[in-house]
Amino acid sequence: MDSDAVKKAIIRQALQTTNSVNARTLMENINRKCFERCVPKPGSSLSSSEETCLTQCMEKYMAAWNQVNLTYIRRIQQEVGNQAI
Amino acid sequence: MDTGLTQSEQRELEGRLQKRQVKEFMSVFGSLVDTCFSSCVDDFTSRALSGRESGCISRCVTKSMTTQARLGERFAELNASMTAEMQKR
Repeated sequence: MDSDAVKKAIIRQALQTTNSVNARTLMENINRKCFERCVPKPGSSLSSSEETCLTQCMEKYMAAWNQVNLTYIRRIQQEVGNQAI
Repeated sequence: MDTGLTQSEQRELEGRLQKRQVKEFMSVFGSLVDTCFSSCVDDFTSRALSGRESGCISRCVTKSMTTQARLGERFAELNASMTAEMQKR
């Protein structure tokens, strides 16, 4: 393998590690937030409405993550555009 | 500037600083998502964000970024004035 290929392999590996750490952190946050919101009085098992709530909470959290990402990038692009003028 | 580090040590240092920056950014990003989710999303009867909720999140992010920038400026000003004070003595 030449040095360029080695470099690419290392970058790919680093990105994978970062992504898996991010995914883990994201899951922890979702767990905490959605349990807080959907299971206010824990019983001995999850009711079906609690399960539904948890699923929808998770979907919404990820949608919120995407929305934050989008807004953040748009805002950064705006600021870069303003500075370029 | 001679920092006393070899080329490869310098590179290593830069790499580590970069990694730390990325980590810090990701944690700021994560807490931003958490905060805006808490403030804006209260209806779990559907899977998708309502228009109201996504607008709220957009505004939340923009406000947070503006706040952070402004706090950074004030902090730098305060720092500069405190340094100047100490140098006078």
